[in-house]
Amino acid sequence: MNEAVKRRIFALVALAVAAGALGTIAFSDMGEDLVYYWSPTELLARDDAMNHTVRLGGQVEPGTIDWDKEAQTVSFSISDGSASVPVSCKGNPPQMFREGIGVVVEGELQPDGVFHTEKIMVKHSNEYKAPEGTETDPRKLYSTLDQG
Amino acid sequence: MMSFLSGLWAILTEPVNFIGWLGFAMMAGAIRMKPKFAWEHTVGVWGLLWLTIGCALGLGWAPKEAMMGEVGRILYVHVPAAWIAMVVFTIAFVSALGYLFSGRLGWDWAVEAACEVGVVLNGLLLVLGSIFAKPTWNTWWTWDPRLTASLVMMLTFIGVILLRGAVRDPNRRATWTGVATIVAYLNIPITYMSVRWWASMHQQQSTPATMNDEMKMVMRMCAWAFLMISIWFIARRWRLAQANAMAEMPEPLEIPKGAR
Amino acid sequence: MIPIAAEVTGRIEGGWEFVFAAYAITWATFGLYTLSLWARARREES
Repeated sequence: MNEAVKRRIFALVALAVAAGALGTIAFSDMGEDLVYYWSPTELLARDDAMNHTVRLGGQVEPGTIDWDKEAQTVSFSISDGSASVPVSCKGNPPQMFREGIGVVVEGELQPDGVFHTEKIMVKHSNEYKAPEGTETDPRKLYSTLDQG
Repeated sequence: MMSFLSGLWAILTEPVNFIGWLGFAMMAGAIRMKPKFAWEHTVGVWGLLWLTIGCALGLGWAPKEAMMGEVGRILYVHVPAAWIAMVVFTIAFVSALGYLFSGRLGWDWAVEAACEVGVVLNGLLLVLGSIFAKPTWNTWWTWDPRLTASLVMMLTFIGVILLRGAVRDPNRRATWTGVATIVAYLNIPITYMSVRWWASMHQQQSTPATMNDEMKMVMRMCAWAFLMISIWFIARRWRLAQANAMAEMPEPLEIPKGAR
Repeated sequence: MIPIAAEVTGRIEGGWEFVFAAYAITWATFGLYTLSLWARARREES
């Protein structure tokens, strides 16, 4: 076969392979098994989640933050709108932590029904604003959390 | 569709984009007029100028972000690194198709150049992202879909470069690199879409509507600067690839009649 | 050490060191890559 024809066939095959792989990833549900974190609803629905290190993500439910200086913990609830899980964190939460913000915590749900963590990660929204004037409604930040 | 087009038109006609249009005009002018210096130096200097201005405005003039405070200023280098890494990989992809369909080694040198520059930008992107993530998310690294996809994207293109280095025959090497680049380009749509397909730590793409005007302007300025500098890098790297190819080419032989 | 609630305001205070590090690394990356291109071009000439 002519070299030039061969090269073009190679190009088309490579394109087909790439497009096929992309289509498979985009339209199959293989993403279902690739979860970075569970929502409270998902976590509570699983009976195998107890005592395993997992990530839990959702909104810090307003009015639930409680600082315990003696025990050096901060406790709050993470909610996804329909379910909520109480969380207890040992150590300092990050500076952006506040009521209503999206967070992902790493830790485990223990038999006491409380999710124990030492790592709170704060999820920022895709809104970037100057400080003066209107402030972002923290509830809006959550809107980018329940994607996927 | 109409709203997409009008949105695109609004972005393209924003005043700050004169940096890009003027840059391309200067580039075209320099290529046509064939000055004593290489044409790419015009865009190189132009990009460096706007990177300086962009960084200065990013540090001193743009407002701090409402929640991220001063740390939000990292956006002006992090986001352009991401955008332009993807643009540069796209240049590699188009050049790979160019080689495979035309057989001209000039395209192959462009693949070699763009893959390397893309990896540099991708590495910068990961480091900047890590520096950004520590104060905002409270972690240097986490295996979320976006971060993982960006890392895989870089490793794949490093693989393409390594593969290229392992093949001796120039035409074979060009074909293999081209095919590998086309397949590796799969990573770009995956990385781009990762924040939409999967729940992740990384926020979704911002849109013009979700960003303060001054911030938007500085970010565009830096993005154009990154692009111009990257064009300069690719052109310089292309010349290097060309020189290497010339050096390894055998002395021209008398080609016997009838042979291809 | 646990901060009292008032210390965690939901906003990041300071953090300039991260900003400077990011900008410095950007410039350093561009500078080093330019240097590498220059060095390789010189080696090619000789």
